[in-house]
Amino acid sequence: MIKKIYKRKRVNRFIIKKSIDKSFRQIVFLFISLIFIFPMFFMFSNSLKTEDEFLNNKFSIPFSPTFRNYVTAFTKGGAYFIEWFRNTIIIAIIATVITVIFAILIGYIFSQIKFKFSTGLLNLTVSLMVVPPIIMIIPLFKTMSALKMVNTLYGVILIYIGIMLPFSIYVLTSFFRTIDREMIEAALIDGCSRHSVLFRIILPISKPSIITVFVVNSLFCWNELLIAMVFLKSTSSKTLMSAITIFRNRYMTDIPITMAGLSMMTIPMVILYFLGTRFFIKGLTSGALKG
Amino acid sequence: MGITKKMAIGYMLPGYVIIIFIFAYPIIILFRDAFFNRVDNILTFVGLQNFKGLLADPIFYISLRNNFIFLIIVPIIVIISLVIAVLLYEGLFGWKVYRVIIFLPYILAIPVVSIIFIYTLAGNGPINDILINKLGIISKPILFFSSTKIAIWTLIGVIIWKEIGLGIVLFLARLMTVDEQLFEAAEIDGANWFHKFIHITIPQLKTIIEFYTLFTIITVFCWVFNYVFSSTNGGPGNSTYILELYIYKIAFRYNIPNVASCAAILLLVFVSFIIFIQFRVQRRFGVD
Repeated sequence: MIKKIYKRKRVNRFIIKKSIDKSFRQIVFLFISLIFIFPMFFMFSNSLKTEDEFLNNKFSIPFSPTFRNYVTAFTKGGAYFIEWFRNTIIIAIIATVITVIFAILIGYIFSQIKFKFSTGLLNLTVSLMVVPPIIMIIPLFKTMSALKMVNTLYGVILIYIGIMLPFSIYVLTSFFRTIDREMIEAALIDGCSRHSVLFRIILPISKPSIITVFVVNSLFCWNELLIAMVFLKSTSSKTLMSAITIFRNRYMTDIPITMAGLSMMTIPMVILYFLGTRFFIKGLTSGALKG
Repeated sequence: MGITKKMAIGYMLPGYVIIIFIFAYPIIILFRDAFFNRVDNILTFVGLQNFKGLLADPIFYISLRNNFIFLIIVPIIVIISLVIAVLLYEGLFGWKVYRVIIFLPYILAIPVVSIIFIYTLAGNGPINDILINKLGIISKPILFFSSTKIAIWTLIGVIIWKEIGLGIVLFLARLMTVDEQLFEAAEIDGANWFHKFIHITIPQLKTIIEFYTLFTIITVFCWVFNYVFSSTNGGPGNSTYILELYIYKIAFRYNIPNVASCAAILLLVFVSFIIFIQFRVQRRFGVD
């Protein structure tokens, strides 16, 4: 009995201590959020201001939001903004789709059979994931020049596919391996061919990891700077990121227009992320988080 | 009914042709260019001559030093992201919103981030304005990007700000799979927050902590070109040069690809070394 009362008292004190603790943590996290969100807030809010409003107040939300900066940046942004936007979308879509298809095919084989050196080959492939592109870029530039693929979107697409494949193979193979073998065998007994097992059974189950690979790869293509900069030299063939300096130099003094341009470069990826976020963490962690 | 050899090859070939073209072939050429010079269209073996050229360049040493300075980021980012993940895990009101906010920088493009920071951290920019006029903490503006002493630390701050979201999300996802009773039992036994952190959280998350640590080492050592190029571009006064930027400039601005190849090989050696450690420490990394 005494023991019980004592215990309850202790629990009460515990709860009070916890609630003070909680409000303190809430304040800490509000402050952390401020640090994380401030640059983005600065970009979006100022992109909606006129230059006068910006000069008078750099921090507040825009009081009379205007989309004029967006129109200016899009139509006159270095005169090429629309082309850069188009190039970026073309590269991101084609490279990502091809990468995902090739990675699915390879991941399927790795997950289903073992052959001589299969583990070694997979490990080698996975470790390519961390090799920075700067290492390959000098020889690749010579080769691409010889093949007349500099200043073409195909050249960049090809390099992006190569760079994205190791990560995609890694994520997809580890996900495919978690799929119940009995289900695949049952389908085979029912007369399903090895090809249709992939399309009818594995792909529908693997939606989270496939979407993850799509999102991560699109982000990579959209945000990539070095390769785009080296291989796309003519102004009209550039992507948004590799043209960002041209764009910025043109509107150096007009910060709201610059911010509108930057916002437009950011918004598509933010939307894509939020669309895929439900699957994103699940897909990304299925491989890396075992054990 | 098994997968035939023909089918396996057919499935794997398209991807691997590209991988060989993008990785294997250039790396072979890289070694050739480092040890051979092309004179009158004839390859001549020059031994370590190109490496000597590299070692005679003071900017190479600055770059190498900065690469190692960047490694300071690793312990900072691992510890902070672990602590934040644990705090979020312990059930904070609105933790899902915080998780999204903290992860947002990770999806932004680095050049975009750099430009925003250049504006906000400029000598006459809004952050200095707050510090000087509103808070009165300092009297002279901090030259975040244009002081040879401070610029590298500003870059480190930006990299941490941008990269930390992934760590938090990974740790949080792993924490969700830890048996809650472990923490409850420890709490009943009177363990405080720090005890739980040291004796439960870290051992339970050991695998993912190792993975993330090595991942971050590689990120900050050889994937930071975008940060440096789009903000300081090596300046002021070459103080923020890093190996990647050095390779890029030597190869494409000063047109000495053979010396740049030597630097690229050094970077490759470092990457291989980390991968080697990765396989030793953690057999699970490769989907074995």
